[in-house]
Amino acid sequence: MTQRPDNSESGRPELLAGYVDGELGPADRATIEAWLAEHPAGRAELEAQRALSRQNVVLWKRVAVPQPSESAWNKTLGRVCDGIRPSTPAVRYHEPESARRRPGTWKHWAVGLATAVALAFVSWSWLVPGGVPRPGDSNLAMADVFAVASNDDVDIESLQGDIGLLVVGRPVLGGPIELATVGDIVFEAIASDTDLQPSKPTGVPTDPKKTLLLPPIDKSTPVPVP
Amino acid sequence: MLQANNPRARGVHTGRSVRPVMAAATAPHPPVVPTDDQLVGRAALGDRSALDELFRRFRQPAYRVAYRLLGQEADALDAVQEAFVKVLLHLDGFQGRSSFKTWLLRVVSNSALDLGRKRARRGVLPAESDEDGDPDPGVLTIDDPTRGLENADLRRALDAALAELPDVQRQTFVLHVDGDLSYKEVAEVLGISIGTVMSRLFYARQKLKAALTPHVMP
Repeated sequence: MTQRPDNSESGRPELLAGYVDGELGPADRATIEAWLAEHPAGRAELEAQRALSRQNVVLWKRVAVPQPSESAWNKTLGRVCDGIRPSTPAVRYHEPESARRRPGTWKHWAVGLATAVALAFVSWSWLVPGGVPRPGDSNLAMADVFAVASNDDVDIESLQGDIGLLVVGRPVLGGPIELATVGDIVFEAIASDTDLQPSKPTGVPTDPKKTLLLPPIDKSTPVPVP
Repeated sequence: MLQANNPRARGVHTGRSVRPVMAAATAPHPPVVPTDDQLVGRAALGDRSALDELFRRFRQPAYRVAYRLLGQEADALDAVQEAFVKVLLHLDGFQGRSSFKTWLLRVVSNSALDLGRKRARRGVLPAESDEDGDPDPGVLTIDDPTRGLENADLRRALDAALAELPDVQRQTFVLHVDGDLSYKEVAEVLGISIGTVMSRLFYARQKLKAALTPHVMP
C-alpha cells in the first residue's frame, strides 16, 4: 500500500515527483524546499522518487531495453510499407508504370458490361412496382447487409480521459431478454420500507425465463389483485 | 608569382609559392536535415525516403515504450509496426497540433496496451526468447557476465513491477521515462492535466521502489 509522506502543509505529495523532475514552478519549488527544511524525514521519500526518475541514468542504463537486430528492424519497416499499400486512399505511392491500368483490354470491357447489367437490374427493381423488397420480407437477407461486429473486430485505439474502470468482455446475457409484465407476476406482498425508500412488491414471475424488472412503486401505483 | 600588394591577388604566402584561397562561397554546403514536419509532409505525398527517415528517427523511442509495456521484442515490434501503419495512414489528418513524436507515442502506447490485454485474454505468457527463438540475452556485458546477469535480473524485476501497476500509471511512467517526454507532452498524449501526470508518476514510483527494494538499486 502506498504511503503519503507527511507533508500535509504542502497538501500535495505529488509535488515531490515534480520537484525531482524539475517540473515545478518557482512557487511550488519553494514550497517543497521549505517543507523539506522542516521535515528532514521527507528526504527519504524524495530520494525514493529520484531513484526511479530519469535522472538515475545508472539505473536506466542497467535496465536498458534490449535492441532488435537490424534485420528485425528491416522486416518491421517492410511490414509497415505493406500495411500502407496504395489500396488505401490516405497515402498514395508512385506505382511503377507496369502496374497502371491499360485501357482497352477485353477484361475491362467485360467488367464494365457486367457492372452496367447489374445497375440496370437494380434500377428495374426500383422502378417496377413490387420489385422493391418491403421491410419484413422474409426473403430479405438483412443479416448480410447489417453485419454486426464481434468483440474481436473492435480495437480500442485510445481511451480519452482518466478512465478508472473499463469493463470488457462478453455480455452476461446470452441473448435477447424478455421482460416480465405485470400480468406475469404473482404478487406475494408489499414490503413496507422504513428507510424512506419507495415500497417494493415482492414476487416472482410465473415464467422463470422472463426477467423481472420492476420500478419502485408508491401509494399511487395501482396494485393488481392476484 | 602573385604580388602581395596586388589588390586583385588573393593568396596565402607560404614562402615558396602562393596557394590560392578558395572563397567561402564555393565551400560545400552542409547537408540540410529536414524537420519532422517536412518529413511528415513529404511522406503524406508518398515520398518513400521520407517514410524511411521518419521510421529511422522515431523507431527507438517507439520501441522502448512498447517493449517496456509488453516485455518482449516480438510483441514490441508488432506494436511499433501497427502504430506506424496507423499514423502513416492518417498523415493527411495530422494537423500539427502536437508533434509527430507525441502523436506516434500515443498510438504506440495504446497499441501496446491493447496487445497486452489481448495476450492476457488468450492466456499467452510472455516468451522468454527473442524473435529468432534464442534465449533473451538481457543486457549482458562481455567483460563481466555476472554483472550482465544482475542487470537482466533487475530489468526483469522492473518489468514485473511495471506489470503490476494500473495501466494508467504504467503508461504515464513509460511515456515519461522511455519515451523521454516532458510532463506537458505526457499530458498532451494522454489528454490529462499536468497535475495528474505528476500524481501518477509519484504513486507509480512509490510502488516500483517498494517492489524493487530486494534488488540492488543504483
